[in-house]
Parts: sequence; C-alpha cells; structure tokens
Amino acid sequence: MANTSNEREGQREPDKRQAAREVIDILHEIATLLNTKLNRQQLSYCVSLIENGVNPEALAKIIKELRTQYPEPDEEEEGAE
Amino acid sequence: MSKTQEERVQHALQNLLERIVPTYPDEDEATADDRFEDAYNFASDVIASSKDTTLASDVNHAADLIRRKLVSDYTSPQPAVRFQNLYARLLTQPVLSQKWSMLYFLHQMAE
Repeated sequence: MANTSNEREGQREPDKRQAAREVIDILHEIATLLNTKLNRQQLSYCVSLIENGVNPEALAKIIKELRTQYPEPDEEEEGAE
Repeated sequence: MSKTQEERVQHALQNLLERIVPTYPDEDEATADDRFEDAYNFASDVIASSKDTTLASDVNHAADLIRRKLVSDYTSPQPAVRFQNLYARLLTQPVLSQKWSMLYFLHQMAE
C-alpha cells in the first residue's frame, strides 16, 4: 500500500533533523580548524541567524566585540595577574 | 526580512547572546540583566545597520579564503586537506541554503 503523504511527511522529519545535525558537525569542524572558539550550540544559533538573512560580517563583528567587552570570568583572571 | 524571519532572528540572537555574554560570580542580578540588555541592543543595532550591505555571494571565494588561511596558519598541509573534504561534504547538504555566508562568517571569526 502506497505511503500516505502524512507517513512520508512523518518519515521526512527525522531525515531533516539528521541532515541539520550533519551540517553542524561539518561547520563545527571547520570552525575548530579556524580556531573560532565557537561551540556547537553557539554555532547552531549563528546558522539560524545567517539562514534568516543576518549579514555574516555583522554577526562576526558582534561576537568579537562582545567577547572583548565581556571576557569570560576565567579569562578575566588570567589577564588580571 | 519577513515578520517570521525577524522573530526567528530575535529568538536566535537572544539564545546566542545568553551563551556569549557571561555572568560574573558575586554580582547582583540587576547588573547581569543590564549587561545582557546592553549587549542585545548593541547586537540589534549592528544587524539593523548592516541590512542594506550586500556581499558578493560566491561560495568558492569564501572557500578559497579559508583554504589560504589554513595553508598560511599551519605548517602541515593536513588542515587544508581536511577542510577540502569538509567543504565537499558541505556542498552536498540540502538543508543549508546560505553556504557562502556561513563559510564567510567562519573566516571572519578565525583567530
């Protein structure tokens, strides 16, 4: 019996999620090669922002500026010695 | 940018900033909230002011920039070879439409 469209739709959802996970895997490895210090969670929100039209140069500027302005607590102590 | 796109941007930006803007030990909540709000307003302003700038979108160009950087940053050719493999896999991924922008973003974030 041919699959009904909801069954096909139902099957496609896990495939989409699997494909999205693979994209993050690939991008995270590239991000690590480039020493961007972005973790997977941060990266997935960056993907969402860029996929929804945010300018990549602007997003990079935001993250770099905020990292400079608000260093991580342990980084702050290292700098203070 | 459509209404739903804007909502998605606001949601993703909120979540991203929660994972970038730190909270410091022994500080009160109001200070942390003010810092987050300043960061969010700053980010929103930068995004809004960059809306009209259009960038030449050529995924191969962004890949070349990254390849050149990896060749110059590392003595071993291994990272550039690894990137080539990752890039080939990325090109086959249907779910990511802004491939060029993502690669260009990662190149801009590189240390």
